Amino acid sequence: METIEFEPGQEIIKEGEEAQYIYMLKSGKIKVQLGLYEFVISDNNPEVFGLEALVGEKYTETCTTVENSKLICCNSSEFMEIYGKTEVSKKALESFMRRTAKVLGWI
Amino acid sequence: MKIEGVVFKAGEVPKTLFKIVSGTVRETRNKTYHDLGHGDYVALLEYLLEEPIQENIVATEETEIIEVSLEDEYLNIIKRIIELRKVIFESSIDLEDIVLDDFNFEKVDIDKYLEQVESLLTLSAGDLPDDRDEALRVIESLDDDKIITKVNLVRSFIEKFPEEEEGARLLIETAAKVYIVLNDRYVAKSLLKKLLLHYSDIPKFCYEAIKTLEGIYRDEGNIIWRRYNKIAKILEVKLRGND
Repeated sequence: METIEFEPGQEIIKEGEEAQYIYMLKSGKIKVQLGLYEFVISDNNPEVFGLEALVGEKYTETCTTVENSKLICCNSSEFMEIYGKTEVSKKALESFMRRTAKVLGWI
Repeated sequence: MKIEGVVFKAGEVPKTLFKIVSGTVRETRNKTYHDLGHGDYVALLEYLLEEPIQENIVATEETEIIEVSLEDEYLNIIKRIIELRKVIFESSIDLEDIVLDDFNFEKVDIDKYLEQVESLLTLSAGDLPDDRDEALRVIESLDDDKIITKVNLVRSFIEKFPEEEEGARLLIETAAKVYIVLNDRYVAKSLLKKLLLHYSDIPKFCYEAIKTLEGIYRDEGNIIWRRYNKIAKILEVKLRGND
């Protein structure tokens, strides 16, 4: 597990690529593209992305930095060991579901 | 627990996560329903977001559900959400590069299907007059109880007068009647898709066909309606630009 700094415009994960890592935003701003929809997440409301890595699926969204950003990067076993059964993992699932529901027109 | 009928009432915030063992549960959000089956979670969205249910969630047949915990099901839930996201990709289109494949045409040959329907109903379409106006008069004089005959005459009209815009108008009108009178979504959709294939150069008719397709898919709760909704928006902008 490590903290990585990204410059604006850097692609962190890309839809369709094998998911290896889960990322947590510590500071900065990220644009998340899911299908034809875009969301912006910022450190005001820290979010997790890349949950696909936990189940061996490919990434289903593309995340790109909007400004200088710091992210914690961890693999699936690290994530489950440290954050499994905590509010972090619950919040991560909630935001994963929320983005999906918005694109589906459910909310 | 076995249940039939309402699982969660509208306005209720689900405090329990249920997984379906067998049976069918129907969720409705924003007037679009979808049915859940074995292995699905009931009201997963509202449970995770701690939000009220929009409309009653009901078991449409005798259904067995079990209470599960978020922690135990965590990875399975991620898999289910990814499955939902796959639906998004299947129903998304590249707005800059629409191709006919995006219309999700049925694999069955449309004309062959209509011929089968015709023979089943033992209705003969008969020959269409060679004169365009006379042919139109014959088609338009048919009552709603001869709707399948009308469908076949419209097909003949398009074959006989392929350059006539009236063919597009007839397809839209006949598709709407088939849908209303016979409640046959398949034939109605086939006619509208036939219009998209034959009259793809006439945006105003394509727009009407796509809007009707959107309505039909929405009525049947098929998420493909979103695809038609997007295409209709693009056409609407193009049509406005032509004014």
